[in-house]
Amino acid sequence: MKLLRLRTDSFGGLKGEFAFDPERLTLMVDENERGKSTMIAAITAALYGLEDDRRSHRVVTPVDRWRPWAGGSYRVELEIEHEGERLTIKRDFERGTVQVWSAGGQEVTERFRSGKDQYPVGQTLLGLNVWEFEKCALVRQGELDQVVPPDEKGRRNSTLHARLESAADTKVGDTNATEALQVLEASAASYTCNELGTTMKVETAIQRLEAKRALLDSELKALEHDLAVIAGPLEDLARLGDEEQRARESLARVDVERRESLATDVRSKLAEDDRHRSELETLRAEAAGLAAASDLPSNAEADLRETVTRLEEAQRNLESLESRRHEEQARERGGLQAEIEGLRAYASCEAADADRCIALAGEIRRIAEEDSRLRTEIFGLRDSLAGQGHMPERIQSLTARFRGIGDESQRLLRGQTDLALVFQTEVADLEKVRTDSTETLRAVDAMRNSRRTPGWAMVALGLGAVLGGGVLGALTPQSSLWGMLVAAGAVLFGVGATLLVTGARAREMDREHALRRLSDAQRKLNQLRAQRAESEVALNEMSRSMGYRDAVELIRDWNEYSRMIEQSSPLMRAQESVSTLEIQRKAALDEVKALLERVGGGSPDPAHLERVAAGIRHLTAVRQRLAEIEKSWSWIDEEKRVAEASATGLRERAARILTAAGITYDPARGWAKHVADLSARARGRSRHSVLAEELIPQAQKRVLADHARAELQSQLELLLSQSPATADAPPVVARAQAEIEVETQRQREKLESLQKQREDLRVSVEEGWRRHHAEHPQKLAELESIGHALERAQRFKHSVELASETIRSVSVETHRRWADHLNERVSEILRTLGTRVEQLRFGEDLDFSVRFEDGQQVARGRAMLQLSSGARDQVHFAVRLAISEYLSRGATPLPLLIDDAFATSDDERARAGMNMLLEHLSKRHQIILLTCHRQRHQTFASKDAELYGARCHWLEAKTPSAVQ
Amino acid sequence: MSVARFIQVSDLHLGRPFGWLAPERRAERRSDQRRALDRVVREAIERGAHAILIPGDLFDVEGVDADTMAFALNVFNVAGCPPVFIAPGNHDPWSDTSHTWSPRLLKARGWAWPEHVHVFTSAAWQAVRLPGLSAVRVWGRCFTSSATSNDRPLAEGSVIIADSADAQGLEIAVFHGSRENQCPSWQSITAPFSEKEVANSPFSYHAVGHYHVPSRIELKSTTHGTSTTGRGVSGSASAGVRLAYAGSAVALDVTETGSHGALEVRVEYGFRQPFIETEPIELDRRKVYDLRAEVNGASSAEQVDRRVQRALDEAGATDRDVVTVRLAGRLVRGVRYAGPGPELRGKMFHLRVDLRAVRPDYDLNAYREGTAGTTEERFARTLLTQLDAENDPEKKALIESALYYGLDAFKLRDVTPTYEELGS
Repeated sequence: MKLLRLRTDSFGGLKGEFAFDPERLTLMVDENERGKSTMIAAITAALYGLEDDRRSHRVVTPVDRWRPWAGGSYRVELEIEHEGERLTIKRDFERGTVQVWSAGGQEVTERFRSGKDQYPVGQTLLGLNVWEFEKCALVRQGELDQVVPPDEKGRRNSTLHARLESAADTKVGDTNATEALQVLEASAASYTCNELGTTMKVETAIQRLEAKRALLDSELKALEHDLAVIAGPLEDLARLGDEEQRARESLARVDVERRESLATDVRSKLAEDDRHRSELETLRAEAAGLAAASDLPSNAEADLRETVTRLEEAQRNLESLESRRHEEQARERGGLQAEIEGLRAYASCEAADADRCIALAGEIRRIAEEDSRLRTEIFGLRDSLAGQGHMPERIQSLTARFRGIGDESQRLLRGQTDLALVFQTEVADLEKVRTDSTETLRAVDAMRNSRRTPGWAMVALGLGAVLGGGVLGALTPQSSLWGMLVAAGAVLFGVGATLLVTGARAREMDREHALRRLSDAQRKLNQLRAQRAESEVALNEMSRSMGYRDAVELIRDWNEYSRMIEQSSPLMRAQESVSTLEIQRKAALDEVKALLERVGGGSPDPAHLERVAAGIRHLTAVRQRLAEIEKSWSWIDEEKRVAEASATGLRERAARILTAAGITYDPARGWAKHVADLSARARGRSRHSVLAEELIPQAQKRVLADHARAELQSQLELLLSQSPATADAPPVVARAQAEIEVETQRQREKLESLQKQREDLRVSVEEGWRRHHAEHPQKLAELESIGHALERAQRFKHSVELASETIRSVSVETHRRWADHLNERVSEILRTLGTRVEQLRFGEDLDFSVRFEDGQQVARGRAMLQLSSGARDQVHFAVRLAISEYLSRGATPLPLLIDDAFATSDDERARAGMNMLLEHLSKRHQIILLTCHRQRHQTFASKDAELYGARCHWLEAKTPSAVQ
Repeated sequence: MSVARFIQVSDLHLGRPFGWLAPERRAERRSDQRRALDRVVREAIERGAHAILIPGDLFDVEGVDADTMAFALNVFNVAGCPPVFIAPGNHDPWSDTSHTWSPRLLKARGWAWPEHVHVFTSAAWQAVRLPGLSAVRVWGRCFTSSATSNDRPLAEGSVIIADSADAQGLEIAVFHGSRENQCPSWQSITAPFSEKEVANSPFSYHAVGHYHVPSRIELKSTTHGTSTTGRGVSGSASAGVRLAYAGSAVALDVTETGSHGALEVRVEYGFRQPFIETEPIELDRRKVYDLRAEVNGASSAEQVDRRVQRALDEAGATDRDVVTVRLAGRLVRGVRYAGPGPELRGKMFHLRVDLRAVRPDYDLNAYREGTAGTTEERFARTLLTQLDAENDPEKKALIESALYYGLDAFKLRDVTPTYEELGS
């Protein structure tokens, strides 16, 4: 690359246009602080731009730093030549624009785009970033040593190193070894291990994976150990199971023994209970034998003795009463027989006869009185009928005439009045109905006619109009009149027909109802008239048969007869009563006569009949007294009955006492024997009482209750069933129950202890087992996964290491190429400059060692301390020049912008250095050297005038555009 | 002539941790195992089997968790379940201290095998007469250690069956062992036997466990018209299937492709030479697939996923299945593919993508044949030279990984851990 021209409107304090000689060294002479460094910054800014990022430039950004001091447009324009192509770079820092133009006037800015809106033209052309460009191409006072970073990491990361390698390769590859190594190292430094869930160095990942694998291994071994350990407890578990089984068997044996003992106890209890039950049964049997006496009252014997005494006394009273009654009855019977002798006339009569005599006397008196009253009433009624005009003869004749007619005739005569009344009433009503119906029919017909008449007229007119229209249409079809006529005729015909139809149907219901009523009324009238005519015919026939002239006369007599019969009925009834009384009187007298004849006759008057009746009743009373003479001594019978009842009661009581005592009364035996029997029974009762109240309850108390006995029996059955083998066998050892209980308790405690131990052990074993199987497969899988991950990480690490080692080994040759060049070239430059350094040897990482003239080889750091500042600057200056030369091999040579590089050198060394630049370096590289030591360089130019004249281009900063 | 029916199931490996499955899938797979054994019992009842034969590896390890143990002890405790004969294998050997077999230790924990479950407890052959079929004897032997055994269970003279009064009897062998020359690469040979030994065995039928892939040995019917069992080493003791592996009841690993289940064994015996037939009973509701997919030219991880999906679709894999997809080919440089995305992974019960045959698309021949002027070229050539010279597969894989990581660093300026599975 060659810098041809720089023009700036304003860049910091720099302004103007500066033309550089691409073939010679440009020596720009100026005073201090006049803009030499600004020019270098302007060239760099033109190639790479200026940063404006306040985050990385907190004090002042490069854009602000080089902002024009005196205002004006903030622009630079750099014209360069690169690989035969002339380009013009225009940057406006105020606007932030960049343009790259070719010599042909084409804008080629896009060729230099990097990223979104960066245009690092220098990096594209030179392959160096701005920092590396400044290190290689800019040689500033005080910054010479920065071309090679002092620390290894800085050197490793330096693109300069990579550029040297690329330059060393015969063919520039995509990536050089250093970059490839960096990529590999970066990948090894950021290894993502999914199993660890993080990104880290692969070595760290391997360490962690190994640690994890070791941990899992130990955990697995621990689990397997635990599982193996379980085998011991499992054996113990089995042993404890056996012991538990034995303990169970011992317990079962003791239990059998205990049950045997219990069974024996139960058996003895049951046997004792059997004995008690037997005793109880005996007592109960005795009690049952004395049960008959058990109900004997306690005083039965005394009662019986007293009752027997009282019975004997009652029997004695009865005998005395019987003798007294016989005496009194004989005396009274004599008096009554004398009185019967005095009433002998009435001996054939009975008490009923006396009553009949009294009744007949009363009957005769009543008939006489009733006859007298009826006769008086008859006379009164006869006088009353005569006063009303009824002649007895007329009554008799009418009675004789109508009494003999039949029932049918009587009904006919009696119905004439009702028939006439009904006929008159119904005929009037029916006539009214007929009249109303007729009127209704007339009204309906009138209404219909009122519609029919215009209807027929309109129908006729319509037909006429239609016919007329038809004729007119036939004759003059063109005329519209015929059409109108036909239409009007049709309308009229239609209206007329409608009227006819409505007229024919008007009040249809009313008309039919009226017709129905009219026909009903007419039919009923006809029936009434026919009935009346039949009645009249029958009356006429009856009147003729009874000798009347006509039916009217018959009806009149019948009516009279009926009225007369009705008015004379009290008289008739009174006459009939008198007749009846006469018959009754005759009958009573006949009966009185017959009755009196039995008692010697007499007049049939009531008084006599009453005397006869009194005699009959007296006789009857005497007879009754005689007959009842026994009854007159009934008090004796009464007393006797009382005495007998008392005796009977006493006897029955004594018998009951005996029966109650269970002794059957035998009349053949005397009471004394019965009393003796009862006495024996009383003694049995006392014994029964003792049995029932004392002996049996005591025995019952000794007997077990049924449920208790059943419980004992079921207990025994249970015990026998639980040890069937030994149920029938005799007890093995007759140990005490308490002893057995103690043994049972001891065995049970032992069993429980074993069970607890076994359960604890089993839980422990199961827990170990469960933990093993819960964790072992998981950890095994985890171990497998970690193993795979470790293998992968190791494989990756080894692969990357192998690749890195291979790259390093093959890059040794590359290193040798550029290192050899630098070693040789730097030494040459230093010899030219006249330093006491004989040789520099560059290492792989661009660091170098220094060998002095005395052959001493020292490291860079130590050499820099040993060298003077001028020599140090010369060393670094030589390194820069050599690097720039190497990077320019086979490619575009870098321009070198040197800012007073020899300021710290003495004149001889400065002159030698200038000569080296002019004579050698400026032929390959464009060199722009800026200095404020005008006098010194003029002295050099005067001493080496030919060289300076051929190879140096003086440029005054004051007159930037002047090219000499 | 009589017919005996058996259900043969082996290599259940109950209690297997299934560490290769995602943690949330492991319990489900263990549930599959239990379901399979439960179905074996049901099938035995429904098919009227006279016995269930379990020739080994009922359990995965000698001691299993309590839950699995409780299941195994109860699964046969079903009304109608025929007698069960178990010959413990190398994974669950019998011993007096075995937590799974020892009645004493089981009793100590309150457990016991049902009465109709017979466990063979000796490494020597033992015979048990089959209840209900007095002419049938079930012979068994067990492993007493999980160590590899070189004993030959069918060696001549290892079992001498005395002459039986019942010439029409049937002798069935149940044991765990390895058929020589047929051992899958991932399994070990233990208790080996040869086909010749099988042919000369006095047993009519051999129910064998150990291999997880079903297989069988058949013999054609001989001219003998009567039973020849019970005659010691007689040969040709039966016709039809002479020996059979039922294989694992459910696939236990991604390598166990194909169907898995049990066998129904039907034996006609009596007044003729026993004739044996077997019929597979599929028990595993999941299928195991081993598929391949090319990734040449795939320019994104999503595109690789799509190719994997296509391979799954073509194979008819469903969301219940276990699938390994072996990718092969060269991915476009810069494409990073570490495994299937969550969406694709969620479509299968288990999906594993094998990346060992996947390489980045670097032109290694150009590096081999080029001028090797640059550091990158010299790097590649150096490692390629080492790679070509190396015979150890692991070292070769390491060199290959280093080569690709280095080239990624040179070419892509980005290195991501991707090549750890190369060639492993």
